[in-house]
Amino acid sequence: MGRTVIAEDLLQDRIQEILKTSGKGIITGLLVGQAHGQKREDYVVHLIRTPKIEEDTQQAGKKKKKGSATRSESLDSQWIAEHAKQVQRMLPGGLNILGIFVVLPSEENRNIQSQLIQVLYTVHKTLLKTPWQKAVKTEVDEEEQHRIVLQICSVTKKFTTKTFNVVDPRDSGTVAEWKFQSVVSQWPLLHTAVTVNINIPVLRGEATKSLHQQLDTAIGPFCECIMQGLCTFNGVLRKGDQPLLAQEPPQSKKGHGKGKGRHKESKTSHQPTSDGPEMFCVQILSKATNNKSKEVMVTECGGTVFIRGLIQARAYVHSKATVAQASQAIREDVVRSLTARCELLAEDVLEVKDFTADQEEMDITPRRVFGRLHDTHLSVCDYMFEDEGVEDCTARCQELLDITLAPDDVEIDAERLPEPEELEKPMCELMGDEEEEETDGEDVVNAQASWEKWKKSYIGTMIGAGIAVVVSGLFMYLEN
Amino acid sequence: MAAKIVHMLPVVKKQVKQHVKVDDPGLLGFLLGIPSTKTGIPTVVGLGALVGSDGTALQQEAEDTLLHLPAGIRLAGVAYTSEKPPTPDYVSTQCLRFVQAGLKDVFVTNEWIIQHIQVDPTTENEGDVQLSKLFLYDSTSGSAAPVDVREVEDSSLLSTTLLLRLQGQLSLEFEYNPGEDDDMFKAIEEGFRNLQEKIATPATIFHLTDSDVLLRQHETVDATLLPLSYHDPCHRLLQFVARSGTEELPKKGGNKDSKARSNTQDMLSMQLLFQQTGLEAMAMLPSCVPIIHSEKRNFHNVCLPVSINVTAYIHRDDPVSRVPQLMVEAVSRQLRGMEACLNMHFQGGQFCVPAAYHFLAPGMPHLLTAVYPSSLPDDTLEWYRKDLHQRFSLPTDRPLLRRQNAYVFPEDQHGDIFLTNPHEGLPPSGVKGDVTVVQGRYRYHHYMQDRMNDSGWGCAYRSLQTICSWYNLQGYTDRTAPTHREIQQALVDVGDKPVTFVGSRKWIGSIEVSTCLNQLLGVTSRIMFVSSGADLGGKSRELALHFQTQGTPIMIGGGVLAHTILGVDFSDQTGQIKFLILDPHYEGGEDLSVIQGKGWCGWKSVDFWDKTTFYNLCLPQRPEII
Repeated sequence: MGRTVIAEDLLQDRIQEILKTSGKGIITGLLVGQAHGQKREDYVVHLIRTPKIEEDTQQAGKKKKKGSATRSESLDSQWIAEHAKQVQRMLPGGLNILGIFVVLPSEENRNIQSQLIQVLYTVHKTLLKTPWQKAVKTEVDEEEQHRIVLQICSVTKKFTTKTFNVVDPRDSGTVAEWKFQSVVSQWPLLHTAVTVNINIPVLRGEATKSLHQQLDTAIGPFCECIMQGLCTFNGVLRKGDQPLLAQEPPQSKKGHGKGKGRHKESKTSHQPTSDGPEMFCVQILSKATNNKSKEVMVTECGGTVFIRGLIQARAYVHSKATVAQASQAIREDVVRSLTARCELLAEDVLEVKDFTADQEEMDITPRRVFGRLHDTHLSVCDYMFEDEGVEDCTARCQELLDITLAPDDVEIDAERLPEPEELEKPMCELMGDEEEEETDGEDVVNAQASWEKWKKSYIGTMIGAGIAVVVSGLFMYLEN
Repeated sequence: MAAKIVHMLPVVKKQVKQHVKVDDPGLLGFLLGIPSTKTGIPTVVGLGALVGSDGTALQQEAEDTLLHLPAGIRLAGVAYTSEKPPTPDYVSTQCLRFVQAGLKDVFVTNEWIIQHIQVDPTTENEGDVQLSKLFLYDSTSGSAAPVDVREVEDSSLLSTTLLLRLQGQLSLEFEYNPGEDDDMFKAIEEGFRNLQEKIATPATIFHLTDSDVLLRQHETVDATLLPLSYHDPCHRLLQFVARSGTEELPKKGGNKDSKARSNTQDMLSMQLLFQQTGLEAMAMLPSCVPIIHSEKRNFHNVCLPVSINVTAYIHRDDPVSRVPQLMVEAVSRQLRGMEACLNMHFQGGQFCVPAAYHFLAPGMPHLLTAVYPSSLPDDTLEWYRKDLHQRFSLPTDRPLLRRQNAYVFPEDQHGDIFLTNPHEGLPPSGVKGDVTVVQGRYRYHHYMQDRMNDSGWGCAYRSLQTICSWYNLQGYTDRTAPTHREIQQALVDVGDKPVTFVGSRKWIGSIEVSTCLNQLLGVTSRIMFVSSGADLGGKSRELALHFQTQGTPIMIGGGVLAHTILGVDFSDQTGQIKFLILDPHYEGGEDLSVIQGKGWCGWKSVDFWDKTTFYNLCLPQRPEII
């Protein structure tokens, strides 16, 4: 039996619009959504048209050979794959590129059929190679991964949906059922703020490599730890096979989550005000190190990379998702956001200067800003460099995500830029120096001291900077 | 005002007695105690004797003692000998000297338990500990008052406390440039200090294994959200642990299981985790977008795995909040021990990996911990163990703290294909005499194991293997039981047998067994000869003495059969004797109920032996090593 593809109801209008603009040409694009994970079902929440290749795409797929003649009938699979790569960075946890769509006048174009499959596989392979995919790769390769090809006839308005198991290159596809249904309004939001504190020595041989390569190795162990971590949801460690959303609302902590949820929903007019989607504050617990070696490692190093700061992560899962799926989605978002920043920064720096020359280097990663996906509560995101404005973000969202956002709609204060004093290179912390304590007995005293110290430093940050909404929400939850 | 009470285990008396020197009165060591939050009555569980030379600072002695103890066992006071009678005034003047020596920092509370042992140098009476008296000394007011001592069973520790265990992986990274050793030691010190601080932050979480319970040191942050409060007695935590493994155990345990269970201590196992998110993780880090710094500089980086493996004792009624506190303390102790080990064994640019081992020595009511450098074999660490044996009053004639002696936690006991001590749980022999059996642990080796078909010829080989396993399990040797071929080769090597002997199916006897023990393990044996099986009854006292003093399994060969004798039950009054026999001729699987039920391991009367043949017994001796 084939799979069922459930498209968010709101997409009906969007598809109508796309069909209107299609004319006689071919329109290609990406399907964004979430696989059910347990049933043979996929949820599609967004269709993104492939940006026009002729346009001067400054931020998107740069080094693209512009000369390649594109006949209207042939699809540029490399271009679409490059687009997919860019889009992937801008999705929150839980949302992925599920496949491609094409709008064309005739269904009979056999040539297009084989090209579509070609595009699908190219997209899949390209995404597999992204640092994010490499970082979140789970131990066992899945035997089946289904991707969707949606074909819409611009004349008959007929939908043809097929799914392909992209792990099997010989798969000839299975017809799937496509239906519209309102689903996303109940998708819970998961959020967390991850502290990054990486301090990685760079091997002598690698010190001359590009920033991108250095960062790639620097964040690897951190990402591994995150991916192997445990998650608590609103403070509770739960069994992985449980459904995330209980039939009956959990009593105590939900109050805060909901309160905040409603606050967020208030902008979205058509949402039922009484019962918005649930919110979960997630904490990730992990081992201190993933290093399983039992031996001492002495390495010759040519430098050190420090990465320190706070990342806001968000993920959405469908309402029947298990705790394990939710945990996977939010952890993937942490890794996705960190890898995306490092990639973007490396690309940016590469254009500006020759990194390898300097003895010391300081870079501020772009900040993550969020925007709303159509009229849903789902967020998409973009990364805004220090020297950019909100209009740069809205332009990118328009071009890459095919979403029109007013500057006011962009949530830019989820993360904040560093204050000047925060730019200091982290010295090996000599925090404890003033208060040398010789404790041979129980160390409760010592611990108490460091807790006090910690609280002080925390309050410092609270005053020092306008802290993001999500973080203050967390504080409320802790006070309880 | 009612006099205060102190509980004391009988073992403390024995330990103290060992260190009393009538002609040299003075400080013996630290009394080790486990507090109880609920009753306020501490239990003295042992003595940490002073072992350093006279010049060693007391603080150093205290630290050296603490580093080998599980958390929850603290230094509770001191024991000393004196010629003076025990009066409160005398005790307070004595204690003032300890205060001056800096012991105030060593004890957690200002109430010290003081054991005053009066000795009389003019008599030959070796410091009768009966003359000792206990006081409580208040180090703030400087006054001492006598205290009621209640002796409680050694085993009460098992029933009144929980054993906590925490495992986790940390790593220590520091810079080392050859020739700059001083800088490196500083870097190591700083690295360990950072780890200590990291453990004390609220981001540190202890995850109770197989449960949803997460514990942190600061109870203001209650992350459990379970029907559990930090004020609850900590034994409630046991209810939250899903017991998946217990169903499989009874099969192996046989009828000993029900008995064994009441004797085993309840344990809570935890994993060390760190919260990467939220406020707890943010301490002292910028809360802005990630900033990347990179610098170019040539140096050597050392990455050292730090495997945290700690234990602690806690009163069952102590509050849950004390569990994470003890874990932090335990980790802190272990990190200090590892730092000391790393520094002590750094040589020529080579670093060792410190690894912690726990030991439950016979007669010892609690675990001891030692940190050993991975790079050095046990033989080179004898000097270190010697101190430890003395400090904790352990016999100095046998290995107790070698890596082989390490305690295997019940949750880690799997994968051993051989049965250990199958005689445990057998019903009494019926003689009602004095029972003396093998001391320690051995494995049951018998026909058809290790895919070796030796039915009909291999019984003495198997008996030898059982003996070798005893030496292995007791820590005398790293060497596991030799194969048939290795045994044969050993006999060829000493010139006892021709080369063709290797690979043959020839029998060996008691003499060959003793030769092999000598060749393979350096163990000497006594050979006992009886001209008839019936004469073995007359050897009962000698055999009993062997099990008392040597405690090794005995191999006996006569006619075509070899057996292992594990013990004797001998009655002085009736002269009746039974032998505890382990039969190597068993060919079945490792099923304890069959082995015990069908008598493959069991008590046999003297008719078990053949009157018409002579027997040679090989009585392996213990080497005196530690």
